[in-house]
Amino acid sequence: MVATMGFGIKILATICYLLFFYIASVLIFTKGFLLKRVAIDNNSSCNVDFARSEEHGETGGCWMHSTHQRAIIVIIDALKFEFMVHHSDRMKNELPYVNKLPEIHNLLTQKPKHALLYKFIADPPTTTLQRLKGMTTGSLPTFVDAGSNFGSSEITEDNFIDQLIKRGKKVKFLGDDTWLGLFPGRFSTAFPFPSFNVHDLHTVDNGILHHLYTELKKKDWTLTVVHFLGVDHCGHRYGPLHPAMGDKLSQMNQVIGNITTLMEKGTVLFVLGDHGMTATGDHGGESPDEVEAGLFVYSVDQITASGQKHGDHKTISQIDFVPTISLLLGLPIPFSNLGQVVPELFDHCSWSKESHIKQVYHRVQALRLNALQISHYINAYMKISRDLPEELYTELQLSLSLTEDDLQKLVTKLSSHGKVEEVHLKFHSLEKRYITYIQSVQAMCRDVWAKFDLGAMTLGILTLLVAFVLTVYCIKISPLICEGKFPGSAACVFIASFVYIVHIIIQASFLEGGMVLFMAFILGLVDLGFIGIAIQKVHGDSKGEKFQNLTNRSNFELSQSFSFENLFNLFVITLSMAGYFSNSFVVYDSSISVFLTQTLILMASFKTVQEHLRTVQGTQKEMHGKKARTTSKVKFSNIVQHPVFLTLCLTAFCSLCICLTKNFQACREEQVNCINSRFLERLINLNSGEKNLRYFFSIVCLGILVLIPYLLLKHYGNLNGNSLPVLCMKYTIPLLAVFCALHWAVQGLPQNVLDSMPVWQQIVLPRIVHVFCIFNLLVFLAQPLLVYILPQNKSLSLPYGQSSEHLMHTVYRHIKVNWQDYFSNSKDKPPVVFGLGTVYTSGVLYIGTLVSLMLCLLLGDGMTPSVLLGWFSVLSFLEILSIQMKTTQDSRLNMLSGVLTFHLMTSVFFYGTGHQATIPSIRWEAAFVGFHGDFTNNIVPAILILFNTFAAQVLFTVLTPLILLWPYSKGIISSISLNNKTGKSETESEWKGDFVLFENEHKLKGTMMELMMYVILVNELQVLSAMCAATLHRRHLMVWKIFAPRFVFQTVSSFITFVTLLLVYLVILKIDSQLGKWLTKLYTK
Amino acid sequence: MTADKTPHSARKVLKRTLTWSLFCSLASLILLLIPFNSGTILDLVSNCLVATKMWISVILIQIFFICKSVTHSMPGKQQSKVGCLLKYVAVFLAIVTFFCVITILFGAPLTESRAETFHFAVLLSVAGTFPGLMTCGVNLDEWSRLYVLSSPEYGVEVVAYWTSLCSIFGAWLGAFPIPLDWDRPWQVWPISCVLGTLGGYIIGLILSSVHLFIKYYKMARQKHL
Ligand SMILES: [Zn+2]
Ligand SMILES: [Zn+2]
Repeated sequence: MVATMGFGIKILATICYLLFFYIASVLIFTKGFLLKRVAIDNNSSCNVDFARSEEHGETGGCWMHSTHQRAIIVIIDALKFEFMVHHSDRMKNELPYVNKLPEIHNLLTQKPKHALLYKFIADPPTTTLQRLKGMTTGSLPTFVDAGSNFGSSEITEDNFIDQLIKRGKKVKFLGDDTWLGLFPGRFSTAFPFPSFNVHDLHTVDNGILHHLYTELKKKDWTLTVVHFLGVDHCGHRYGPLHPAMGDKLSQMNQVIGNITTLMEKGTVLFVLGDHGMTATGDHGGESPDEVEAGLFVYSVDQITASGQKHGDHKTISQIDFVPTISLLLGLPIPFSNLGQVVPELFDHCSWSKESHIKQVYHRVQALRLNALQISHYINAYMKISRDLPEELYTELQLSLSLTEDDLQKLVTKLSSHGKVEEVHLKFHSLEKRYITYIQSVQAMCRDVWAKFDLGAMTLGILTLLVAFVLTVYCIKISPLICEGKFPGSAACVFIASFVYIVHIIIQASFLEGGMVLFMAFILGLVDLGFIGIAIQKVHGDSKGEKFQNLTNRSNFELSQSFSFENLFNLFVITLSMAGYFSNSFVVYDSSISVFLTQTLILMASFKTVQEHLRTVQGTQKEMHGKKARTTSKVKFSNIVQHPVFLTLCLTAFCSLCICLTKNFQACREEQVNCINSRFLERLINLNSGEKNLRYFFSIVCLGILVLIPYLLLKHYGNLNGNSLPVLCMKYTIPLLAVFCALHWAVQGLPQNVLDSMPVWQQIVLPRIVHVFCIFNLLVFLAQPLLVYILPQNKSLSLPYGQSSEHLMHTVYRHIKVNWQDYFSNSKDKPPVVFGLGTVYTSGVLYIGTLVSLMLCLLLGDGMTPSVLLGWFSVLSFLEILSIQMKTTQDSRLNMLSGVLTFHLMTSVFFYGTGHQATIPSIRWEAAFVGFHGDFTNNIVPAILILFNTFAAQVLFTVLTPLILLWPYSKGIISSISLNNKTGKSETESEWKGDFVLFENEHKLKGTMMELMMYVILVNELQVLSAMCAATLHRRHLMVWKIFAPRFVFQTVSSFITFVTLLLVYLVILKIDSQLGKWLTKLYTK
Repeated sequence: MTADKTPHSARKVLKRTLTWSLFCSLASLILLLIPFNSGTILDLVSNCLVATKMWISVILIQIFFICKSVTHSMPGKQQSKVGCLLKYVAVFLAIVTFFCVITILFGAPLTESRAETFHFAVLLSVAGTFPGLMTCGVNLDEWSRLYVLSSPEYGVEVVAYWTSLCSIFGAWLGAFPIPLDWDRPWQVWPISCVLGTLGGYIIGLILSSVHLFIKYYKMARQKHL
């Protein structure tokens, strides 16, 4: 017994170890991949202590007096710097995109103090949405803007559009409808056009041009935003080297010309590209081609005193646009801005016209405001997050305050003495110091927030790879564990991998730099090789052993692991993983997993039929001589009981269940022609007829859901006696289902009735269900054996003084004999134990019932039918598997096929419970089941939402041990076919149920380990492919919309699977040890 | 189709089947490639329904010729011709329904493009099961022997086995391009699946030719020994 426990715990430790490996690898990868930053929703206001308004007697500005009253922003999507700059080179003139914007060149040469051109560097990812966010808020891009708005793309951070609107100004918009998603309801006039169709070059642009000039002439605006898409679409379709690009740019040139002639005094024009494009016309990444956009500034008035030297264009960052336009229009700089004002745009105004010192002072003033705003923001940020390096932060803040002091001294000196020597040089040095400060802060933030760390990403993948190989090793040694041996190489393998993981963790959390990273790679590769050799060795050993005792199933096993079925299953699963690399396959994963699951189910049933026919053929050949065809008569009962017929029926049923899940799917944004399931609608929103119909349908489904395990357990004889878990199963679970239904009824009440109810009445029902489910779980854990001894028995006559191992066999034999007696109806016999044949199965079913009840509550009434479908498909698939095993009468079942099918079914039901792998499709309402929103911390709602989202993972993982147990226990349908095949008396006496696993000391643990390792293996593979896809596509246009969410969801899903698996294994271990104790007690009685 | 044929005639039959299947595969390939993407009435992409109908008849004719070349009497031996035919039609209709159901279970749209789904199911049953129907008839044991236990014995059975297997696998593979965002006209359901079925059918014919050739070669050597 001690030895068995030891094995159990060793396996447990192994799984924990793998889980640890998994978590480490995912964290390391995430550290390199996910850009994260906490969004702060503060807004800048006019009244800040560092800004004095109305200085120099000028009004019309907030922090600083404004130099312009209106602005026009013309965004030409994907307008590369190369398109805007003038090439005097003759050779280059041939290219279709060169010198197609002569208006810009003309203005630059004719009015050098009115027009400026900049190289405008975008932050990757260079996708339009991310760029627009950056260009309006001045912040760096992230994947998780952990703020209040998970659901929509609406900008909640402070931005200059909102600042304008807050001051009662009007903003007009024409163009790409992405803007309306970012700023819903902000524009006084908007002419949005769909940005979806990349192949359409002209709809958006012509639509804009239709309205643009009349709208500009109206003068009822402060800011007009125009967003042209033609250049970008032309790039996507033809690339920059196509003549169409030349035409498009010429059209844009005309637009610029028209606008500049329309402009009046006090208006400033910005023509800019949100990003560039590669040689093939795509964008999204961080190559120079994609990052280098252009910015052209023009004003009818003089805008700068210094101007640009001819052909010398400064490089500025895209976020620099935000403070610049804000101060030019006299707005406060948006709160979260990190950009730096463009200094030369601030040295000319009516006040500073004459003196050079005044001009420089003006520039310093703008920079100072900018620097103080950034310092303000960083202060606020440091208060809520520890992302930024503390030391650097304090150093920077110190340098800023020193600069402030120096400026203050200089200004007081100036005002008291009138003149200071070399004041102009001092101002220049102050200007440089402000710029240095701003740029250092930018660099610091960019380092932390906006860079893929390729080293960490590959290290994460490598770590997962090591974990994967370790899992393969564990699968290889599990047959040895079945025989009670732990191979010697195990210790070495685990030590080697442990060294690696420790190194990795130290590396990832404390060290930085190339050399150590290199070490980690070497270590990882060495580890991989080493474990590979160990696997080879174990494989060779087990093979050798098998050759030694040839009587075993060695040949069969070998052929089985490379059977056509297995290879095909692996092929299917490889396809599903390869799908992760294609954006459209990720988008349509819901349909694809249904397709692949159907394939696997058909394959399993085909295999079953094939096996049956093979055995029939074999027996027919044997009996050929004796029997001439006598059984030509076809009986109806024969057909119904025929295994092939049963298999086909089960397959049809299972397939139908899988297919029906489509009715419960939610849509993701990218799926065209998709309608959200009606079942996702809240009950309250339906009209009364539909409401009643759905409510009763859900209740019926819930009833069936509770009834099925009850009937199964009753069939197995696990519900006899009056022990607490039995009573729970009999009475509390139906009661809880009733409570659940009542809760839904309450939720279906009209909103005003619901609101008028006291809070406790709204939450009491689900809370009862929560509490009682947990209570039932605890009761079961205290007493996990659903067996019952018939009380009128006499004591067992057991031989004393034997070892415990022996004892078990004796008890078992006794039980077996007594069973026969019981079934032959002879009275007053020694003990009869009910339900012993399904001790493990009943436990799993019991837990499964509780879990699915809780999940139904969380998922809501609409999704209950889907959970029921899940049970149906699991049970019918298990029946197919057990028919297969019974017809072959082979004790080893094909675990891989079971695990793979379960895995795919999990993903089918993930989608089939109304989820998608996108953040907007998370169903937040789950957090309010049993709670009223007054959370003191985020743990409870997080758990509820996690359970809701990954309901399928939890349910299917809980039921996973049934793959192993079901063929042993008497499935209702598969036993019919068995009865048909062999005589009844034989089956009853032979049948041991899953107790057979207890009989052999290590078999349960060994096979359980193999099963769990397969589950872990498949999940690790899936995460690995998601990681690789994310790494490979990190420059992809859709990375933040498709691949990154897919990776996050897959990671969390696998994590939940692992944890559930661990808990289920613990339950089985508990049952196992309790069974041992129970038998000893029986023996002492 | 009795087994007591002389080796000579068996070889002759084999040879004839081999030539026929080679010929059919070539003919199908040409028929598939010439109108492809031409926009004519026989082009699968622009005229899916008509082209599918055409292909159904083409495959039917081919199978008929392959079987006719070998067998002189259909396996429904002593029954009346009409009864036999009715039985066949019934079985075939059942198969078509079966494939319809399977396609819908695998994710074909239920409400839209019903005609296309039906045509695809007919094509699949013609390419995937009609050869079996011609060789095994309505005998369930024969079917299970040929397909489930996968032991084709005679020449025609080899053809039936490979074409069925490859057609169905091709149809299965044909579903994969549908979700891709390439916006090609042939990605519309069920064109890619029809293409997959036809491709599978042709590959099946080629494979069975290879299989038959090997068989023929072995038999020829045996005779020499
Ligand atoms: Zn863009
Ligand atoms: Zn684009």
